[in-house]
Amino acid sequence: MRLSAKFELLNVLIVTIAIAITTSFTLYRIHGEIVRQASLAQESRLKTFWELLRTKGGDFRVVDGKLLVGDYLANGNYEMPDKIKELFGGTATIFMGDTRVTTNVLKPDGGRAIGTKLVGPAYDAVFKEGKSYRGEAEILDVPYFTAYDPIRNTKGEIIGVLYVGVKKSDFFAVYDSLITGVIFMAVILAIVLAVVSGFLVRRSLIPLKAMVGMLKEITGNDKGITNLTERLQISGSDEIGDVSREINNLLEKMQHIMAMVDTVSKRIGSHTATISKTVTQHAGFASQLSSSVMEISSTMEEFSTTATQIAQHSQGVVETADQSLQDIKNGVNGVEDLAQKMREIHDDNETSLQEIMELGRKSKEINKVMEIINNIASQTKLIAFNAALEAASAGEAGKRFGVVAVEIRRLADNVVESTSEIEGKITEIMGAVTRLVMASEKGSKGVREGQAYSGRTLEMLNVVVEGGESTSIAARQISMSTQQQQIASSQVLVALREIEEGARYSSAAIQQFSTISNDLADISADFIGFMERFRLEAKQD
Amino acid sequence: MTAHLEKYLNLLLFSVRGVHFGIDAEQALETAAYDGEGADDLLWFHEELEFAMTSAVYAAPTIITVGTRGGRQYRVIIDAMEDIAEYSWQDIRPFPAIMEPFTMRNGIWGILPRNGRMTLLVDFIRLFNGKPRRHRI
Repeated sequence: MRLSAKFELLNVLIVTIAIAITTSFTLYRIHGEIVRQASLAQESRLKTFWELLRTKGGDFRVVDGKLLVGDYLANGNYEMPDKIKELFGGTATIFMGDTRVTTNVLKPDGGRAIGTKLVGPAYDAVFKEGKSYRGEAEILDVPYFTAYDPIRNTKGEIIGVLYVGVKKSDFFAVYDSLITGVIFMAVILAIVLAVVSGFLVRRSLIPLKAMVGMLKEITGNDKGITNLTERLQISGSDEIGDVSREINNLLEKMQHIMAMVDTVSKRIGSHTATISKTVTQHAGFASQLSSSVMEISSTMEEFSTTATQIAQHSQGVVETADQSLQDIKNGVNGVEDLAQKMREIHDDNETSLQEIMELGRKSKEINKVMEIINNIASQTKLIAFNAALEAASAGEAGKRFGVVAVEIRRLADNVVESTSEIEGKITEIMGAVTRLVMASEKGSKGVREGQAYSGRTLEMLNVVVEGGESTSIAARQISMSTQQQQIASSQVLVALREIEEGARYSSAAIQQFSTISNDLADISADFIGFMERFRLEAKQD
Repeated sequence: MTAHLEKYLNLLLFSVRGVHFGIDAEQALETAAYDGEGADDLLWFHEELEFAMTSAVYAAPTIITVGTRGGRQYRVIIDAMEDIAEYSWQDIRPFPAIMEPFTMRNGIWGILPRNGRMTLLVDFIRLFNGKPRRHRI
């Protein structure tokens, strides 16, 4: 729907609603005033009714089924209702209890409605609540403005009801005729105002139509090129003129912005191509990085496995080092025991050597004794030889002496032979003693060397113990280091897996980024093509 | 007695450097132990007999005093005096005639086979009389 039609329709609608609201409000106030005037009239009638009745007596009572006001009998006495009708019009009734005993209300057959009952909200208000009732009520199926007051005896008991009423139609006959006239006039007025306002709206929108035509020229609906170099013709100083000026300002800014956008889009296109190329290279790098990270992860897994094995082996090395250290300490104790035993052997050997040397010395003494004996034997032998020589020179006489000499010489020979044997044995003993001494000395020397060796061995073993302890500590440190290395390699492995995961994500992101950059390049190309639809510089005609 | 002497010869047996010798016991006047004394009259047997050696080691050197018919006495150092015993003349073997002049020059006049060994029989008197003596008592 065009804006002029909208303005016209809106104007008609506003006028119609305004007239309708004004008319309705006026009629509502008139209706309310009529109702208020009716209520005031009812009150006046009812007061008059009460005053007329009080002229008849001061008290109300029911005697023998008759309602008396003072001595005035109300039952069947139409004086009061007719007087009220005469004065004010409308209807009036006196109820004894809830039964009409005198009234000017007529039944459809024209007779007075004597003996009919009071029903409805008036009955409830008067007899159940003991209050007066004001309002509309249906009397013999005809709507009335009514007013009911209870009639009380001297004890205050409700013994009847006093009623006045006017038909609603009597009050609203003028009102109804007024409504018809007001609505008719409102419709006429609305039509006239709508025509006038539509004319004014169309007249006001003429410059706007001219501006729309110029904008069409600028946007180039027919040619498809928006000419941002064109400007609107400003016709006046009204709101449309202001709008034209603002549109011209907007076009000026838009021309400037679009020029910048054109430049930026071209730069974006150039950069997008570079980005696309870079992203492609980066995708290759990322893929290579992912592959390298996977290789490193694989290597690190092997390294972690090796580190775990080394940690396990290093633990074994620690145990072996501890065992070796304990063995070395046992070896040190053994060497110390050995050194002690060698000292004891050396002492024993020294003692034996002393004994042996004593034995050799005594053997030498024996040898000396044997030399003496041998010397004596030799001398005896010589004596025996000489005796034999003497016996031989004595001839037959010395023969027996010679026999004795021979025997003595033989004894001497035996002694010499025995002493020789003894000397040989002693010599052997001496040789054995000498060899034994030499062996003992050699043994002592060996024991001393052994002691020296054992001492050096002990020193070396102590060094070895220190080395073993250092080795054990080093092995523990190695074990701890390998365990830390194993933990570190596990952490590195975890980190590498995260890097690998990140590299995959990065590769996927780069792939996505590559797609996006390609799309961006396409969009940039489209955008450059789109920018060609704007003329940003005036033609040089 | 004379018959007995004619059948047996009393020999004093000794050895020098493993060579066994024997002399007539009547030529030996006495024996004495050699205690290393350096007397000028002592004769070394191997030197007198002209053994083909420059020096000799005596295991049990003994001085034997030899008496000659002229009353002279010689003290000779011998070695390993073994025995004084009688041996039959029949057991003694003279040197062949062709060798005797040479052996007799050193007083060796016969051979006594004994216990599977040869014992050279030496006549000290002939030995000392046949050679100039360096020392005489």
